[in-house]
Amino acid sequence: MRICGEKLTAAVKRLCYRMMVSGGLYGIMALGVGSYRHLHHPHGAALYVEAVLMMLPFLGIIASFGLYLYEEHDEFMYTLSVQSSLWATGITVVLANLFIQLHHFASVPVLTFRTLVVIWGLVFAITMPFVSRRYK
Amino acid sequence: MRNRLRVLRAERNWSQAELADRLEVSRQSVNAIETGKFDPSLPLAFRLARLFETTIEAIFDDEIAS
Repeated sequence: MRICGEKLTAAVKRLCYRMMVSGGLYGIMALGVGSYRHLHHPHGAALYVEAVLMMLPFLGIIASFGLYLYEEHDEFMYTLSVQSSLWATGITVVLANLFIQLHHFASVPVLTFRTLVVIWGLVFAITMPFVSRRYK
Repeated sequence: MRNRLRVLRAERNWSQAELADRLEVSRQSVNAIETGKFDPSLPLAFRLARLFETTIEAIFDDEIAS
């Protein structure tokens, strides 16, 4: 499997596979929990179970990335990934704080955890080519 | 850090991709090391030395010492 003519490392392939599984799991959970909520109008402990179930795919995504960093034997790709993840974490934290401040002063809704995970992933993907350009 | 990777690779008519396959790293890694923008770890430097049947010092040159 190649992206932009470059062969993917085994660790990247596994990361893609795990991300797809986590994404699929999120879809299944969202549909399942949504249907259950619509049909049974749960309350009490069932709501906590729902919340935990909806968190599982996100834990899967975080674990996938952690496993990727552990399994990546290509030290250059590892360096690029760490640098991009630092950019992604920094920008995500800045945005989260910005929206918290806006929420306090202008009643703007805060960013949900789901949105922050998506922002983190997007910034990671966007910064990767810029980070790798430094080494060309 | 300066290195003779490009010369050693050319002597064997290996492409960057071919060298990357032999080292089990990505082609980008080979390119970054060749251009001196990325310094390999000691284990990778040893793998390079073994592959080219030479010493690490014969491949990499510390610019400060030169």
